[in-house]
Amino acid sequence: MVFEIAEVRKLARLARLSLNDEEVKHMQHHLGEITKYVDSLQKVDIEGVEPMTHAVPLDLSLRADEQMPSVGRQGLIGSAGYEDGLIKVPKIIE
Amino acid sequence: MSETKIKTWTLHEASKRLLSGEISSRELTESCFKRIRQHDANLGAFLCLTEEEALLAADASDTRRKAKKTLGLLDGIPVAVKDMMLTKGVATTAGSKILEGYKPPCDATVVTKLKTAGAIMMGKLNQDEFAMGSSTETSAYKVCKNPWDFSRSPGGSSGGSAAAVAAGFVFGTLGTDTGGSIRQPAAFCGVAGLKPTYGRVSRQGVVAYASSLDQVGPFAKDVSGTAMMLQAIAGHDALDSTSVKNEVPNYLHALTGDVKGLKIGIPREYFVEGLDEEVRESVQKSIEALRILGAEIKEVSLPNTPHGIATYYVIATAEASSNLSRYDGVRYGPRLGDGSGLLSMYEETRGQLFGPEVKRRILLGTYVLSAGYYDAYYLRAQKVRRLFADDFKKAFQEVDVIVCPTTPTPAFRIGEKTDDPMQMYLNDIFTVSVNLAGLPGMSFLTGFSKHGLPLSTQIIGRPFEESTLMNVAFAAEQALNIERVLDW
Repeated sequence: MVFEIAEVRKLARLARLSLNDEEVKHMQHHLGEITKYVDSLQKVDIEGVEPMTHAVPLDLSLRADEQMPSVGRQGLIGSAGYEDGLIKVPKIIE
Repeated sequence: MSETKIKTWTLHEASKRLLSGEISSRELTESCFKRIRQHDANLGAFLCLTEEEALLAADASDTRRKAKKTLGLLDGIPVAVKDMMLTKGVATTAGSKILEGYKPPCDATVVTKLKTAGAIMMGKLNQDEFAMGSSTETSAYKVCKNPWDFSRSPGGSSGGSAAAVAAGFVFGTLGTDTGGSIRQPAAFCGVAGLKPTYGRVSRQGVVAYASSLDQVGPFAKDVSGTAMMLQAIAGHDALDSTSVKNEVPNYLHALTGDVKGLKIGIPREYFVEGLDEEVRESVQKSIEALRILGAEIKEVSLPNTPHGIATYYVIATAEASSNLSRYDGVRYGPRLGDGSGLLSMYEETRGQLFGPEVKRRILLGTYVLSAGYYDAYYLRAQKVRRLFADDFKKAFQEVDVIVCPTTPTPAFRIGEKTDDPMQMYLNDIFTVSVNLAGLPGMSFLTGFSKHGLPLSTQIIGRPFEESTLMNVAFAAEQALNIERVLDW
């Protein structure tokens, strides 16, 4: 598969990654190479095969609804290192 | 006790000497730090050391021992973990600049378990950024080298975990294995490394790369050391819904060396063109040793092997692109952008602080999950994944374990494959299938090349039969009795 520059930029936008022109060119080349290789999967006969989403069959297990010790609000915010017990972000609405 | 002698001890030997009182945990710990300080500036196995805490823990261990309240075989033993594992108050970066300075508010369950077993945490180990790589060269901090030849790679992504054990810095380490990241570096560094069955070990507090493939596992110089480490970390964890409730057997007791009548499968698809001659001979020697011990050798077929890398790179990158969306400059690590808005904060933080390999995989993952391509790539790969599981299921109806090479070649040179991602990816051809099928697999030392590089063999087992596969590795290890002496 050959990637157009515009496609790489679109993917980067979707993935929230800023890339400079040189990076875009590198990625264009490498993504092309990798998808060319991955395209070999198109030849595998998968007729009637169920997709495997996990290595072991998983049940949705629920724990007892009891209060457990946790790191708490301060522990989590403290690790982000922001002030006044709040995580500040740039303006969202103009 | 001389430091040169201590560096050759296995985990078991160190444990025995603590037990006999020949050495204290403080002496052992100080000796390890001395060796690390002398050599790690060259080797690059550690990203950070926690000497103060370690010495306090060593003293506490010695006090317990004097009071005859020892916690078990790992009590007082210096160990370390890959930087993927959260350590309360101790920097955890996953080898990435995007987590620089991040100090987690809690320990990963596996870290808690090691501490509960009395092990001494020495620091955090170097790795490929977010475990994406096979050489530890994508680490954003420093290159890690192979203890047997500093011009060569220790493998990856858990390169620091393998190198630290091989170098005699610590006696056991933990790594993570998503497509071979424990077994391949173990092979390159000539140590034992085990990837347990998916669900055997808790992933709570372990930085996620590809959640349906990731598993934590141990490294040690020899097989018995990995058994001791696995004993400490295995088991169900209420905080990880993907960990299973199966009973944890006594792994050390399982190492009898008796393989009489055991059926061993040799997958013909693993002995193909491109397999290094010395690696082939080394694997054949271990098969021969097992045959002499009474095992029955049988050829098996894993016909989908050639599709492993392609399947892996679709599934792993898809899951990674989702898992790594949490690094947005808000909650962890540094934040970039000009403050003009959220989008620039996300894009600048992620664009500048993720390395090239991580960005490549996020983009590929975003692509295979995007509208119009999902069925052709992701869904198709999940179906091919089922074929891998079926291949192994069929093979394990005929045999008890599978013996094969871990890697196509011994350790490659640093820089040799960095410009060509495909070449780097293909190095995992013999390890990825195990992750896709969720099976346990281990690599252990079975020889040295004429250039002095470790050669290794891989053993793959049925789900949750780590005991069996470790016993087979143990039997071959005892029979081959490979001498390992680092000249530094």
